[in-house]
Amino acid sequence: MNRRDLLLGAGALAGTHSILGSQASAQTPLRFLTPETDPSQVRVWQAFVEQYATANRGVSIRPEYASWDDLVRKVSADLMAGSPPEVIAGSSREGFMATAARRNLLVDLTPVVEEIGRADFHAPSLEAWKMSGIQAAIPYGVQWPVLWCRTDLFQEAGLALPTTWDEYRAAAEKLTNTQRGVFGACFPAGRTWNTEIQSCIAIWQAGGTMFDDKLNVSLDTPEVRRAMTYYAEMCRFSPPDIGQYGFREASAAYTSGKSASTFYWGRVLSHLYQQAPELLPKTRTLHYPRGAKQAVLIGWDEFVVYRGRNSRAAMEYVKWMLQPRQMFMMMEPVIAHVVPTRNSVMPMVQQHEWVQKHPEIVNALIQPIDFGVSPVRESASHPFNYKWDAFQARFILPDLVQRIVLGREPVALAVERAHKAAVDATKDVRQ
Amino acid sequence: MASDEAPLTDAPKPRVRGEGTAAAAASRGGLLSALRDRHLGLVLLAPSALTFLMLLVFPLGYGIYTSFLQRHVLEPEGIWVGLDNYAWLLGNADFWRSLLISSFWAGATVGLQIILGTAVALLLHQPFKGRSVVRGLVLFPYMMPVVSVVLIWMLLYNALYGVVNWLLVQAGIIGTPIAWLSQPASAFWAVVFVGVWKYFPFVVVIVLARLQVISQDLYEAARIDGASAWARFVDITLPQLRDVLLVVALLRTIFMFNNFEIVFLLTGGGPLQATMTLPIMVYEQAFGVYELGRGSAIAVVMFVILIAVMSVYFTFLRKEND
Repeated sequence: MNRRDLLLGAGALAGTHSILGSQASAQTPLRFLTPETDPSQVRVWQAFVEQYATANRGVSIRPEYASWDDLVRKVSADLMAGSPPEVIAGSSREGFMATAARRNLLVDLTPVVEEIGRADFHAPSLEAWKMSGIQAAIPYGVQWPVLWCRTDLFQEAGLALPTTWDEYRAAAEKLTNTQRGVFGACFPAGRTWNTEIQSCIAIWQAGGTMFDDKLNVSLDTPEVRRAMTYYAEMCRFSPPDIGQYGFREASAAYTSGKSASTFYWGRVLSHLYQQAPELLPKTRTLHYPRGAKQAVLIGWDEFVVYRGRNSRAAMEYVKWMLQPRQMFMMMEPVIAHVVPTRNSVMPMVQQHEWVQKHPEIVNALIQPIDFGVSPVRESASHPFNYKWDAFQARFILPDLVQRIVLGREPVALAVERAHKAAVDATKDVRQ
Repeated sequence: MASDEAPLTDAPKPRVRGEGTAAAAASRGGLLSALRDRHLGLVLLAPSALTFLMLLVFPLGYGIYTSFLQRHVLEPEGIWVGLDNYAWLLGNADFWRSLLISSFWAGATVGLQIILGTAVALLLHQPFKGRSVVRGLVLFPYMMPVVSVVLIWMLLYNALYGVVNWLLVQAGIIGTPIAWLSQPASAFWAVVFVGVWKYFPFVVVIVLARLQVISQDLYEAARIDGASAWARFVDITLPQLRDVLLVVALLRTIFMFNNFEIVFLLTGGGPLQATMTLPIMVYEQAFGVYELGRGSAIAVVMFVILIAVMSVYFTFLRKEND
């Protein structure tokens, strides 16, 4: 054999090996993507992967982690590449889900609900994720943010915990002490999902809406201007770097002692246990100080399965994760962050040590509320808002906040511009 | 009369029995061997050519094609709209602002990388104790993963606890801490600083290599003639470095103009779009707003700009060589 023949032979062998190698694996691979990346939660996902793999040798699950703010863009890119993750856990936005369901990209999870037992689920939560005639997602937790307060700082300043906008404005001003590096409030102003949520809540509390009940943009109204004026004022009593704030920063501002109060969900409880247990006895939660009315954004953490070669295996994995033991395992590290949507899991949550020990923190997070609002259905007279995805994709509300807070633009002008941008973003969207 | 000379005609030589077969066989073997050589060459080149086509030519062509479509990122196909995406681009104020920001970003980072990199290379060219250790340490920013670099700088820039603010306050340069990444005015320069810090070692390495081949006789002669250090730098060192610096400037400009990760991870293009460079705008249009056609159009415009920059450079270089 001469060198030429050797080279040709080696090339042929390498080619054959690569073809055969790709067919060698008999395991069904599943990509599992989640933005729930608290270290304690990541340990749960890893434990799930190991336990499920032990019981199901034919399946190999690959966990992947993304940020909340980038999740939708990452999924879009994966869909474009033709290889979306099989399962996504948490933070899928309703608007994007509706778009994906309309384009037949999602698996109908109705069979999973029926196999588990529909009666055990919180019916309104399931209904909220029915899109284009299918069960587009199965929520495993429902949640809403609350106001976290440092009772010691409030007492020191001789202040009662605020229940209205005026009380909160006055308290935040009094609590702000830049020399000590303490700020009375924490209103995010980053180009982030958290900024969008907080500004939505402010708008609803002022009596406004982003869309009217005919789904026309309704941003340029006195109520929205009033909400943005309040938001901008409260930003003056917030840390100086709020221009970058999203979820993590808003929580860290409280646990680090930077802010005397912050809006957040129940995850702060686990962060306090991990990072600042000395603040636990000095912490209390309450519902948002009300404006013209009481309102808060209601959201879910849910499982979504994208259409692909391994949809059946993905559905089985989702069904397994929805078993009461697994659901409680998911919630345990961040107890009270979400209320489980399976009724059979709630007693386990209520027996948790943290829930028993801190009712003044946990009650506002887990007792049912009747003033939750979803952005895709801003009132009972609003139909499902299929334009919300396009509105959200263009950061209309975060840009509005930034123009006022960072760009010092007059509120009326900024709101007018935001209204025009929203009209432009949604004018070609069809149901 | 019979002659012993060779015949004048080209009559074929009489064949010896067996002679034709061997010759034919030798001829065929040579042809086969030649063919095999040619094919072997093609076969060995094929993987590279295929990779080149798949990773460069096809994506480029498909990107240009997509720029003429209106296509939602979740749709398998798009609608042909011709030059509509380019018309939108040219009439879009956000695009022009991003182009300006990208140009400033590339110009500022490359300029500062070259200045700082050359200065450090000149220092490292001098003999001193521990020089090899320092030369290794200087490469450190370039070797670090971008994500690690960004995380560290976000902590350094922190408005309340960051070391940068603390040092500046201690030195009396500022009175109160600055939220570097949260204010439009400071965010751009804060990001530029990180870009310079991360990539200046590349310039150090290239310039240092060139410095080491400059003949010392030139400096000796200049010293004898009484030239100052500055005069030696301007009249000897800089001219010797010129070609290398031009190549570095071109390469760095292309890289920094296309750089996505540093700006995206630090500020995401904000605050208030103060750091919204074109690569980030492409990403937002394609995957945030789902307008794949418009995102591709911006990318094509970026490609054309960089081709123009390279053309100017090569024209300049050709003139110099002539």
